[in-house]
Amino acid sequence: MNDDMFSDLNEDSSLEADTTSDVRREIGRKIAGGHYREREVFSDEAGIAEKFGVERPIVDQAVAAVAAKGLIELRSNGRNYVTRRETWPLIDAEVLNWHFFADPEPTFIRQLVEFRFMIEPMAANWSARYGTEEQHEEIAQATNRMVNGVAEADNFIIFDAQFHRAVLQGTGNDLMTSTSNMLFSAMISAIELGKSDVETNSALVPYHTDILKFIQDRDPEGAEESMRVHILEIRERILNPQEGSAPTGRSADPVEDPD
Amino acid sequence: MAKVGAMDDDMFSDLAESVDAGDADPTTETINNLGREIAGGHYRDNQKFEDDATLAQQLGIDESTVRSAKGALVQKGMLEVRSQGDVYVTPRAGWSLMDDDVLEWHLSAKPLPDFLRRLLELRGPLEPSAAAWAARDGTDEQHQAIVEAVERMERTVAQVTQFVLADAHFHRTVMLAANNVFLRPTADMLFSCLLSSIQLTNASEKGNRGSVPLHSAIRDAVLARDPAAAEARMQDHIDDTIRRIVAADESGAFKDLRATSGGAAAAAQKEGFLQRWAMGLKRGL
Repeated sequence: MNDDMFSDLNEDSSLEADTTSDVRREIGRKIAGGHYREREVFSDEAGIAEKFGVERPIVDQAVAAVAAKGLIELRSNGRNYVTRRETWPLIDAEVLNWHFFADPEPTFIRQLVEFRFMIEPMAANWSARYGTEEQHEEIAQATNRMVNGVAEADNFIIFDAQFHRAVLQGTGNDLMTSTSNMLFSAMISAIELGKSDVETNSALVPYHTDILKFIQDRDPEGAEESMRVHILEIRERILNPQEGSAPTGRSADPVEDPD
Repeated sequence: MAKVGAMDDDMFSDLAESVDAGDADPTTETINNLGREIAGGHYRDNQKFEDDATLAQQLGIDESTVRSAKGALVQKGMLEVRSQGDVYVTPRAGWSLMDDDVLEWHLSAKPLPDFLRRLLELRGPLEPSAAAWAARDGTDEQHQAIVEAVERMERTVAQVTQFVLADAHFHRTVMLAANNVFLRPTADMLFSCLLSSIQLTNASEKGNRGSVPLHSAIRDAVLARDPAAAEARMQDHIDDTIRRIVAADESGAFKDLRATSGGAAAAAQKEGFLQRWAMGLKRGL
């Protein structure tokens, strides 16, 4: 799996190969992969300049380009902030690409699954209880896309994330759905593209058809339990990895805790 | 815009007791009323706000006053102008609680029953887990911040407004001690929601005195690094909050709410709405 394959798939002409775009991509991926916290000051310019062997203005230009995509907020005092994940434009092909090749930080993956385990079972419950017919239809369509898309590696990840976002939105609770875009973005970053093969994807589908059935039957407890089983399975895989399946991300750069 | 995340205790210490709206001019009064409704969850995040004519008719004031008031709320960051000049409610996490007016609206809001339901439905799964993680993963410094948050509650037990801030601050401190990046934006949003909820559930010194032990119990479990106990004590506290909110409902706290476009349906069913909802939770309250 490499970048070119993905850019071919998406015919993304913005991924031209020059140093500036390499630097821009590095910054975008690091941010998407959770190496910086939301609203943390982005202060890695010197390190990036050294890593790529480029002058500082090249890095500043790349930072400005990432800022133009909305992942960084430029301040006149030079203290630039990483913006909130929930505001990132995932309809932008380049931003989405950064997510796919995000090199997710292990801690980020672990915290994501714990957060999901906390919120999603209850969200499935409320979604079965309160969701409108339209919202249930949205979940059904996402399920169909998954069923028909098991062989589409990158798209399947998006279909999966869309399913979970639709369940959160089905709660009709604005305080709950305020987390849905953030989760959507994080889910795409956290899934390893190399693992999205037909076999893995086919095994994931029944969990989702189960959850959908309980939600459509308006069975809150059933929906909650089936979502719990699904996330628990992911959680076990991440927290207690088997040999060869550790979620270590796609490279092994050391990560320092910004706090 | 000022960021809520940078918030600390000191900024609240100078807070004026309350904005006196008694003899305010019509525009100021409208700004304050709408600000309180937005803070009290009468509108949802990202909901389209009523147009000038509709609102002017509902409030019985002229359109130019409505326009000025909406402009002021846009300035305050609670409303935002989007395409074609339509005005929407800014997501709560983006509000600036460092603004004295915005803070005051939270502290004097009449929360909508349906808003309190939505808040409790989020707190139900969120806060007990956050307390468990705070016990498991919180640093000693973060635990110390929780200790100090309880001390602040004890110190302010007789000062209604200061206690509300101390209580909401406690919950934010626990959420941050959970050390999960996904809880950070949620912690800011929750802080905003809690201010409006707590000023309803803790309106007296007596109520506050009853609250403190529930918080000390959470603190003790977190400090003992006992995740299961921390989770259970937070659940006890949320159950107590539900009882208090149902009691407020029974004593008529939600009477006389204006039917806004955001809360029209819920306002219509406000009588006994929260009791019925709490019964449905089957928590054995």
